This record gives sequence, structure tokens and C-alpha cells, in this order.
Amino acid sequence: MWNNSSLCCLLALAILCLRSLIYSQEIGSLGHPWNFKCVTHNLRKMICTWDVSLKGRHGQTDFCYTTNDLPPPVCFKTKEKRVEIPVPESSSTVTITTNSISGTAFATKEFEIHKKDISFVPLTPHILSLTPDFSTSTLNLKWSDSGSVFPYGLDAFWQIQILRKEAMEKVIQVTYYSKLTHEDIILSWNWTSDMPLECTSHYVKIRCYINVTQFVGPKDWSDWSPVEEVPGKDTEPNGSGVFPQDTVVAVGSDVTICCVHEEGQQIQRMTYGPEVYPMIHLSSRSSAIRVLNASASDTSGTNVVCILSEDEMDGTVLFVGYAPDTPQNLSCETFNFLIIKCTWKPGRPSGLYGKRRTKYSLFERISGKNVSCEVNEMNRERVCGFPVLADQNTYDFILGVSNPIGQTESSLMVDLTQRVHPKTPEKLTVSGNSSTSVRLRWFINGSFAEIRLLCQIEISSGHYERKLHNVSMPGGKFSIYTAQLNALHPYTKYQFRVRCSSADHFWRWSDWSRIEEHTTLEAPPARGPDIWRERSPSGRSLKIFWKPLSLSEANGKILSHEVSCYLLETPLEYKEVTEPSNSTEIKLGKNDCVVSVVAKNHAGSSPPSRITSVELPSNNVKTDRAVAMGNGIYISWNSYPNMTCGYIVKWCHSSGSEPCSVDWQKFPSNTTDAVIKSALFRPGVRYSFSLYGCKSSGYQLLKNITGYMKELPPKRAPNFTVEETSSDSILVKWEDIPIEDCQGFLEGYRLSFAKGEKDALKPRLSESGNPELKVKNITDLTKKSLKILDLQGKTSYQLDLQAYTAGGLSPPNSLYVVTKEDSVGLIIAILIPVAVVVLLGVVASIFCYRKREWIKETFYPEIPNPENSKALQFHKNICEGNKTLKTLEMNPCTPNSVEVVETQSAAPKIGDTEMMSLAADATVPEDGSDSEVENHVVVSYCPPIIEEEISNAPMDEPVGSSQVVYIDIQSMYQPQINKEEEPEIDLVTTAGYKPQMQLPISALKIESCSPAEEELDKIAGYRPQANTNVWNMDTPDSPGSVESNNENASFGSPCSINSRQFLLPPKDDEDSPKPSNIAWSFTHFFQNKPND
Amino acid sequence: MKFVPAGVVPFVALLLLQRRPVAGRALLVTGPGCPGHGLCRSNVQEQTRRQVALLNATAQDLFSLYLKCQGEPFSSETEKLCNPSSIFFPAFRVNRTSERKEVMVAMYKLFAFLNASLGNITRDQEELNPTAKELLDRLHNTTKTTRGLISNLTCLLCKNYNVFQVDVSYGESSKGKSAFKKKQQGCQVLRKYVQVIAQAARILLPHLSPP
Repeated sequence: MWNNSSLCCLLALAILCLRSLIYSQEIGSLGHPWNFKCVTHNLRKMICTWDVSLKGRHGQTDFCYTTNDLPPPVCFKTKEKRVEIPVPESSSTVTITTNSISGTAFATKEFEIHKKDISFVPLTPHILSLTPDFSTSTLNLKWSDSGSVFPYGLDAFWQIQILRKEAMEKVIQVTYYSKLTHEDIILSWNWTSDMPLECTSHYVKIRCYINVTQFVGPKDWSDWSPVEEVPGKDTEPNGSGVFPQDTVVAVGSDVTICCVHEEGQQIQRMTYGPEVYPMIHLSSRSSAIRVLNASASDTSGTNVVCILSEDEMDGTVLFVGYAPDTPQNLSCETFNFLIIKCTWKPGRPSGLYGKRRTKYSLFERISGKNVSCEVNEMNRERVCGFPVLADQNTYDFILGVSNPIGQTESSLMVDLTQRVHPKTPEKLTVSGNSSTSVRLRWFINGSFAEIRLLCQIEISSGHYERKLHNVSMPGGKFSIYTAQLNALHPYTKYQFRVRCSSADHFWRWSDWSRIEEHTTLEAPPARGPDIWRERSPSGRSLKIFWKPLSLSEANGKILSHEVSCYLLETPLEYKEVTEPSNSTEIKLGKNDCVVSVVAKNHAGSSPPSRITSVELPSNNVKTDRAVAMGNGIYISWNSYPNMTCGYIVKWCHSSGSEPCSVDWQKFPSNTTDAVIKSALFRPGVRYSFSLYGCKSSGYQLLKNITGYMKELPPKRAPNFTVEETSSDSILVKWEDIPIEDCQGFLEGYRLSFAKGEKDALKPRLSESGNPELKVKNITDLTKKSLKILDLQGKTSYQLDLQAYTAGGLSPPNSLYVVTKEDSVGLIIAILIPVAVVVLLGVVASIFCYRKREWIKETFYPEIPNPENSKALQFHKNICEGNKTLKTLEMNPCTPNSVEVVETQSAAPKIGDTEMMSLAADATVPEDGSDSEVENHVVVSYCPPIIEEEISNAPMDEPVGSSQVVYIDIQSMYQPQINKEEEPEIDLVTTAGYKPQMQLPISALKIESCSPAEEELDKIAGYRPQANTNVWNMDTPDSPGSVESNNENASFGSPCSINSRQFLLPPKDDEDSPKPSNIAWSFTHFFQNKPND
Repeated sequence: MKFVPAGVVPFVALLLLQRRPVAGRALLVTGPGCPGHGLCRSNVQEQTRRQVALLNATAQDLFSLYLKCQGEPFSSETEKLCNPSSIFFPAFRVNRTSERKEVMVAMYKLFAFLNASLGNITRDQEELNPTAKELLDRLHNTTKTTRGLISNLTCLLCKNYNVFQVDVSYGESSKGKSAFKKKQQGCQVLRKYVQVIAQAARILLPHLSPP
């Protein structure tokens, strides 16, 4: 297999050689030149090269070429296979003859070279220099464009490649453009690396391409120049450190920081500020970190620390800040025409300080003068001074601003005469020897000879408005300036201060000078005092009052007042009253005079003020009320046409125990109202005013007015008492409130009342929210009492009394009153029911009496007379004299014994309500049913009419007799019961009493008879005459009614005369030892009926 | 073996004497010996004691503030960044049993060095931290106090021991160094200062206490 493949390879090689040989023979025989090529580097000459097919040595080559321009060929011999010949205009014919060493020609070949076949390849550029700037990580590359060999104006393109690290990794490739100028120009190109150049080695190479548009042949880039290297610190034997050192970068930049260490060391970590960053390996001795979008650093910069093994550390500081901001509000002015002061605001802080701070310079374009500005970084406003130049008023300033990151500028053109801001005036003095004028002097530090100054003088005093006085004056060189001020007030303490500015072109005022004080001299008072007079009550003296002059009128310190009295130019009295008195009294007797008052100060006397003492009589002087205005008292009056010289309102202030001080105010005659104001007026104080009219002959009192400046609520409520109290009314009386407590015009009283007990914690009635609160408003101030009606008896009431003015309600006075009890009503309430009951009783009695027969028939039907009964034969002699007795009387009569014998009946028994028919009664003696009764009751009984003796013949055992006294009517009302209807009853063998009412048959239940009942029957000698069920209030059928224990249900029950008790208790009460004794039986009522 | 850092130039410091015995007001002695009596105030000893106590009391705060103003990682990596082993600092090999004169001389050397170093640190911080007013104030005050202390020590040495010449070694100047190196050097000096001033206070105070 291997043999086959080797054979194939050899065969292929042989074929190739054969083909080559054949081809050589095709293009030329042995020794023939071939592969003829021409390249030009400068468009003028070209280098042509060829190959010769001869393997062995050969001699010189004859080279001939012809061009169209040069018909005779140019021939020369060459040993090389490379010649340099001119570039033909269009084409060239080249003849190449190869000779042997001996000089014999081997072969000759002719080539036709056209211009389009000639290649243009510029010469390889050569780097003249590659200079690193480590502080800025910038490489500077310099090379020559070799433009001298090319025609002018060709475009040249330079391709520059930057490589990095030992492996020469390409970092960047840029194309630089230039234009050839037919001169050799040194070109320069800067490149700033994003990595400090110290970190690792950087390499640069370059090639070019010249775009010759006229050249028709192929054009190509030159070869790359040899690589130039900038070695990094990691290549230096002792090179180490963290780079870049103290670099300033703009905020937001991406920064690479590397740590170069010595061989054998290891980097543990690298930190940027407080943060650890991932490292980028650069070389065996260098690593880097990449900080993206760096933020502004602290004042002292951001520390980058490289922590190496064995606790070694190295670091650098990176200052990240901003480029300077454009200065704002640039302004220039002079304050003395020596220095121009320019100020501006720096805008955004750069964040860079120290030697990296923002630096300012002031450049003046016209003069070309430049000044470096020393500014205080801590000051918000920057200031820079520039000297004023001679004969130059206009300045064109450029404020240059720069820091390591960038620079900017701001410009301003100023006319200095329009930017004058004088310094503060100094040494201000005030002098004057007049009451109305002063002279001011001051000094301004500056040279203002070229301008006029406008100075402003501020005049102020405690009593007058502040005034500004402007003075324009020519400027001077460091001069003293003066100004005269007139029209001042006499005897006034003034404060003066001055400031100045340029008069022609106002820019800014200077600061105010310090204040200088001066008091003007005195002058005579400007006018006489305002005066008034009052006659004494006796009329013999006149008191004169005057008001002190105001400061502006007094013109000085008032020393005294001269008061004189004239009667027709004849002085009657003269007085000089020294300050501070403002009144005096002169004795006139009954005379009148004209009083004159003159005020005097050091400078002189005032004009006199005059007033007559004449007081005209007045009739019917009324007193009106003034209106409180809050800040004054409004008074008004009618117009009095004959008051020719106006009105005077006079009032008096009294304070405490001091005498009242008179005050007054004058009004012209056309005035009819005024608001009197005084600082002495107090709210809630009543003032009395007197209105005088002024006539030429004197003053006349027109009316009196009282009023308040402001009405207040009364200080207290009136004292009030309860005069009278009844069961439904209270009469209260109250007293007047003193005027000083009213604090306003009293408008009424408010009496509030409601039910209420005395309780210290109770709120006021008006605040209690009591729904029963009633209020009485008393507006009639003459009323001093009030009767409160419609009250409830024996009830406690709270009464609150308040007075009120326009200012409000006084605090209340409270009283608690209890109304009396209504005894008549109580009596009536008792008597009326009693009377009604009595009346009803009488009516009922009458009714019953009248209807007694009907009642008798209805309720108590007539019982047959026992006398008619043979069974009951009473001896007539017994109680004979008592036939007419209507009531049973016990004592007087001799009781008979009636023995009622109950027989033990074998027949069914009915309970204790068992009724027996009359027929049964009739059979009692025959049956002798009570023979077995062991216990029988013997009741003392006085038969009114008859005495019935019942013998118990059938009794087996003799028993003691028992006596029962029955009211005889019982026998009279024996019910007529049909014998056939009650066959069972016939069987009953009983004796004694027979019920007068027939019980319903249905109620007779034989089965219900219990042995206990039987026992009861044995002991009971009495049977009720009526069904107890009927006595019940309930219906007889209801079971409850049967079992009811209602003890009242005793109607119809027979009563013992002795005890007046029911003899037979209800069945349920059998166990009770005593029967109830509540009932009052109707039987008594009917007992009074005369026995028929 | 004594460590002498490169650039340290031992030189003979002329004593700073007080013409008027006011702490902090020192004058260079140009004569061959100490001036006569009246050189020191009566309370110079007490004043010196108070100055040392004051420096001792304020040293730690000054150091902490310095660290804070240098930015990270000076506060977090203080041990490594501010390790004073690589800088020159005058030896302070005295103890309570040392002779008083020896203590005074050692003190003088220490505070002369500190005064110069604080000057360098203050200058560097005015450049690096012009806005750190409190730090600058503390540095200025500390420098002033050391200057006054030097004057008082000068006075005591001259008065008590007639010593008017002391050899003083200063550290390497930070001028021309990178900002990081300036920060680091200041940090190293101040850290050592905190340690030594405490020791100096312990040792010097008994010697300055009234008998």
C-alpha cells in the first residue's frame, strides 16, 4: 500500500516537472527571461524584475528599453534581474538578452510594458519617533510623508496599528489622512491609551496608501513599517507601582488601573475605594482593574490599593471630578478707578481641589493684558482684580477657566465709567449753627475726577418721616465732599448718613456711611396752645386749660405759659405758669374777660391763643347717647346755624382718685359729627361729653352726651332675691347695677329658670342644655321684679339672673328655690274619693232599700216560716217579748238547745257542698242517719223565732246533743226541689241545716267522695247554703274555680253570730285550724229586714 | 541595629529657647551656650506636663479624623496601610527609671521630629483636603502645641542641665511623593505618634511632677 502511494507521488512530481519543462519551452527556450514585472514607488521611476529559466550561472544581461518618446533604445548591461527605469508615458518595449559567463547570448526576450501593467506601491513609511507621555497615557507618533517625490495634492492614507502586551495583541487600528504637498512633511499623531502606558508594553506600526487618481495601474498599500515599542514598567528590572499616579479623570469615565510588581510577587487583590475589583492579567508582573463610569471622588481623591503577598501594599489616588463650569454672572466694576473688580459665580463645583483646582485668568483683549486670579475655593463668589489702564475706559474681558479635565471661558465688555461702585463714604461730620440747616462733610477713597458723583443723604429723626436728599457734585481724587441741608425742623435730633454713586451712569450705590447725629437749634413755638376754660361752680373763678404743643410746633423745650386776662384791652390778670402744668385758675368775680395764653421756650414766645370766658345760657339741655366705635366714640349733633365759630366737645378723664382731667376737641362750624379718639379711653368706661357751640359772644352748652368707646358685658349680675314663693309661682326682685359695673348701656335682664337641685358642680343654666330651661327677657329697665308662674309645687328650681348690654351678658347670679306644697289639692284629692264612696254607698243603700223586695226575691228568696212547720215547734213563751227583734241578740236571751244530729249515711255523700232537698229534710228524723256521728258540735244559738229540736232516733249510740243556732231565714228560703228529680238525695239521711240553693246536679259527683270528706261530714254540723263554686269569680265549670282558695268567696255562707265568721271553711281549708274571717256578708244587711 | 531611613539627615538642631518664657514662642539660640537666669517661667514644668497631657489626650482623635479624611481603605486597612515599621521614627528608649536628663533629651528629639512631621502632614492635607477644616484645625493646634512643648523642653534642658545642643533626626519629606504616599506616610507617622505620646506621657509626667 505504501509503495503504491509513493509511486503515485513520484509520478505526479514527474508529471509536474515535465509540464514545467514543456511550459518553459513554450515561453522560451532555456535561459530565456520571463515573469517580467514593473512596480513604481514614486510614479517617476519603476523597478522592473524578471526571472530567468536557466538554472546555472550566467553572465551579464543586456537590457534595452524603448519608449514612445525616445525612439532609440536605451541599453545597458546588468548583472541583476532588477532594473530601475523611468515610468513610460504610455508603454515601453523592453528587450532582455541573457548572456553566458563567456558573453555568449543565450536568449533574448522582448516585453511590451503598458502603463496599466505597472503597479504603484508607496515606499514603506518609517516611524521617526514614538514618544510616550506616561502622565496622560499618550503616545506620540511621528513619521515623514515623503511627499517630495509625489506630485502636489495627492491624498495619503496612513494606517496605524497599536499593539499591546508581549503577545502583541492588537488594540486599535486607525487610518490617518493627509495630503501630500510635494514636500517631505513630518506627520504626528497622538493616541491616548485607556490603560496607563506603564502597565505593559505598547507597540506601533504604520503603512500608507497614496491615492494617485491619474495612475492607471494597480495601486496598493505599502508594507508595514517596523514595529516601535514603548516598554511597560513590567519589563524594567525594578519597575513596580500602581498606575496611573495621581491622575485626574472626568466623572463617568472608564479607567484602567494597573499594579506592576516585582518578579515572584503575587497580587492578592486590588481595591478601588472600599470595593474589590476583578483583576485583568496583563503580564507575569502586571495586572489591572477596570473601573467603569467612575463617580466623583472625595476631596482627597479615591484610593486604589494593590495588596500584594506578605502584606505589602502599594497604591495610587485617582481624582474624579468635573470639567469647570462656565462662570455665571460675570460682572466687573471699579470702586476707585484704580482696580477693576470682577466677580462671578463658579457654577457647579468641579470636585477637584489643591493643585487640581479650577484656575481662573482674566484676559483683556484690547490691551492684551492677562492677569491670573487667586481665588478662594471656599468662597461661593469668586473675585479677581484687574488694574485700571491709563486712557482706557472700555475693557473687553475674557475670563478663562481651566482645570485638569477641561476649560471654558466667559467674556464681558464694560465701559468703566458706567460701572462705578464707589467705596463707602468715610469720616462723615455734621455741623450747623441754625435751627433749620446743617452742613455735612465726608470723604470717599477713590479717584473720581472723570465723573460726577451723585450722593444721597438720608435724614431721619424719631419724630419725622425718613427723607432722602440727593446731591450731585463733581468727583475728585480722594476728595472731601460737602453738602448743605436746609428746611430742617428746629430743636430736632437728626440722624444723617450718606451713600454715593456715579451721577451720569448709575450703576450701584455705595454702602451707607456710618450714622452721624445732630440736633438743630431751638426756634420760637410755631403757634399758640389749644386752650379751653371752665367756670368754677361758684362762678367766681375761671380755670384755663391748654394742651401741650407738639414737638414740631414747640420748636424747642417749652419753659412756661403766660396766661393773661383782658377786659376791653385792659389787663385784669397775668400769670406765668411753668412747665409741666397745663392749667391755671384766675379769679374773675362776676366779670368776664378774654383769656390769652402764650407758650415760651428758649428761643421766644408763641403767638397768643385767646378764648372768652363768657358762657351763654342754655335751656333744655338733653343728654344723648354716643355710639361706641371700638377705637373711639362717635357723637353727632344737629347743625346750629348761629354757632359761627365752631363747636367744642369737652370731656373729662378720671383715673382713680385723681381729679378729672379736662380734654376737648374743636370742630369747625360745618361739622355735625365726630369720632372722639383718645389714648386714655378705655373699653367699658362711661364717658360724658359736653357739646358747646361757639358764638362771637361766647360759648353755649348745647347738649350732653354719654358713651362708651366699646361696650362690654356687665361686670356682674344684679343682686336678686326671692320675695314670695307659692306652690306654683316665685316672685323675684332685683337691684340696680352700679353704672361702673354696667360697662355699657344696660339693655335688659335675662332670667333663666329650670328645675334643678343645688349642686356646686352644676353648670350655668344657659350652658346646661336643660330642655326645660325657660328664659324671661326683661327689657323694661324700670321693672325690678318678676313673678314666675306655672311652676310645680314642692319642686326645686334654679334661677339665673343676668344683665346685658350691647357688649353681652353679665355672669349670672343664681338662686335655688323650692316651691310650696299644694295642700288644697291634696285635701281635695282625699276628700273627693271619700265623698264619692259615701255617695255611692248612700245611693246603693237607697237603691237596695227601694229594691229590697227584688233583691230579696233574686238573691234570697223567702224561706218558709218555721212556725208553720210542724217539725219545728217552738214554744211561744220562749223569748216571747222578743218577737219584734230584728237582730239576733245573744246575751239577753236564754239559749235553747237544738241538737242537730248528723247520721252516718250509707248513701253516697256529696262533699262539703252537699245539698239536701227539702224532702230529704223531712225524712231526717225518720232516717236517724246521724246516729253514728261521734263528734257533733254544740253551738250556742238563740233562735229568734223558733227553736227546732231534732231528735236522732235512728242513732245506734247515744251521743251528746249538739246545739246549732240557725238564722231562721234559712228555713224560709228552702229551695223547692222536685223529689223525683233527685232520687239519690232522697237516700241521704242527714239532719240539721238544709241548703237554700240547689247545687247543679252535674257538680254532684258521688265518686269524688273521699274518706276524708266523709270524716269532715262527720264533724261538720253545718252545710253551706250555696254552692261555693258559684261564689268563685271564675266560671263554675273551670277546674280552677273548684280548687280555688279564694277566701273572699263567701257570699251566701252562713255566719256565726258570735264570731261573724264563716262556719264552714272552703274544702281546701279543712286543715286550717281557723276559718278565715275576711268576708262581710250580705246577710247582715238583710238581717235588718223585719221579720214577716 | 539602628534603622536610618534614606534621606534622613541627622543634624544638630539648635535649641529653641524662650527669650520670654511663653509657651509656643521660641527663638533660635545663636550663641555658644545657654543664656543666663530668667530663661524659664516658674510654671514651665507644669506647663510642659499639661502640654504632654494635652497631646496625649488629643492624639487618638486626631489620628481617627485623619484616617476618616483619607478615604477608604485607610480606615479598614489601617494595620497594613499605616504600619509604621517602614518609616523612620526617633527611638524612644526611656522608662520611668531613666535619668531625668535622658528623658528630657529623648523627649526633645521626639517632639522635634513630630513638629517637622506634623508640618509636612499639615502641608499635604492642605493640598489634599482643603475642605477638611476640622482636621486642619487639629493639625495646626497639635503643631502649635508641639512647638510650645519644644520651647519648654529647650528651656528645661538649658536651665537644669545646661544642654543647648541636641542631635535630631527628621523623617523623609513627603514633598514630591505621590498623593497616596503622602497619605500613607502621614498615617504611619500619626499612628506611631499615638503610641509614643502615650508612653511619653507616662514617663515624662512623673519627672515633671512637683517634688
